[in-house]
Amino acid sequence: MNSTHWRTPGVVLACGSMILMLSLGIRQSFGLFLQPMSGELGWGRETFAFALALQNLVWGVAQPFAGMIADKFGAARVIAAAGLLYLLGLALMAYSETGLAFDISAGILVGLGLSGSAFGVVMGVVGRAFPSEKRSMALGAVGAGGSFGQFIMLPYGQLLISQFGWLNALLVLAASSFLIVPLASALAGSNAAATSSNQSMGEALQEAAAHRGFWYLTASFLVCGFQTLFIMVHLPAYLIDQGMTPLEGMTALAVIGFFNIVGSYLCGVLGGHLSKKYLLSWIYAVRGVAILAFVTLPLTPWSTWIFAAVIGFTWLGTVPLTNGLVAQIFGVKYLSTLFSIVFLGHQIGSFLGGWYGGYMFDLTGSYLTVWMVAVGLSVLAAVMCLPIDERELATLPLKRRAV
Amino acid sequence: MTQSRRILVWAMLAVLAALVAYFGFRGYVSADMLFNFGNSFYC
Repeated sequence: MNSTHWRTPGVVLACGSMILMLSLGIRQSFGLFLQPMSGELGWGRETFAFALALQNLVWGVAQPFAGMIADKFGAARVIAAAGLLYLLGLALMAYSETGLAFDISAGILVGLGLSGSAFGVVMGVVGRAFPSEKRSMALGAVGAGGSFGQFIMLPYGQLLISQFGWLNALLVLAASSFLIVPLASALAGSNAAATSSNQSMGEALQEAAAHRGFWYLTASFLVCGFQTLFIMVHLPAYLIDQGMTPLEGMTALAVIGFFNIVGSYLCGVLGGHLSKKYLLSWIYAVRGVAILAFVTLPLTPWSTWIFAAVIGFTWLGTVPLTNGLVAQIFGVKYLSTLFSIVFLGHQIGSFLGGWYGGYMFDLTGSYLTVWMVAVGLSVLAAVMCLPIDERELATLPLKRRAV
Repeated sequence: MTQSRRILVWAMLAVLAALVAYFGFRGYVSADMLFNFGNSFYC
């Protein structure tokens, strides 16, 4: 059998989905360790929060480099190395006794692990494995795998902590992350798009930098990061401040997680049939309206769950559309690199959303300002997506490429 | 893939999705989760 014969698009999709499920899902469970670790090790909450903020930043900054290495030398090597870094980070987290050790393990090592095993690198391979007419659906399906991991790993992490204690739970998660290494072998193989074009990486970066749409996508993705992390970190606290119970708050998180799976896939499918930039614009507009309605109308459990369903549906739906648009405009040869740069915008937004939410709450005693900023950013992102020129650059005359 | 097999695959996927959703939601609102995670937002 040919060494690459078994790596059919379906196998690449299934293994890519499982990699995203593990890498994004395990990370989702970290919040569960705040209480037991901080309590037992005598840390303040800031120690834990700083390491997780550092992780997001390292993930974002390292992602373009991971994407470049993947495009140049193969995604499988990058994903396998990232899986090992993830494992090492989780194992060292379990034995971290100082804030510095926790920053290195949970912040730097896990951040590096995420940069090589999450969206940018995995979606680059999946995007190349499928023809353009099926690419958006495939990106939606692989994104849904990541969403599934995010949904299921939170209760799974809690189950592990309850059954085995936080230290052993981290070791079980570390062992689980090792599965990324063998799964990466399915994503091995040469970058087939590399032979179809003579464009160098420098030329691709210059081309993207000169394209307004690339920056509009990066800026709108920053808005996505701001909104999702703000909501994920601060929504439960907001609900409890408004008189809701932890049961209602946790149900809201579950609803977001579940609809995120459905939304990721359906947005990918829709992106295969409709204009991706208009879909993105709709997503940001719907989010803006949902947030405005949520904070201005009377708060009830049902209004919260409807809000959670709408937000969940649009949560990671932006990922296959943004990635698909990058592939559509710039081609797939340097898809990991270019999407990783766009994703850096997302991570900067995430950092700002998490931090600004807490900062404004401490300053004003309310989240209202941040909710309104999130609505304003939604409008901005919805408008920014409209002028993006979706045409494939390779088909345009050279003088029209800087658009 | 024949039509009947396609329907069977989709039916199995639907059952799987329903099971995952059920156990997932139960996990989110379990006593452990509410006590250890949900309550942390009071602080």
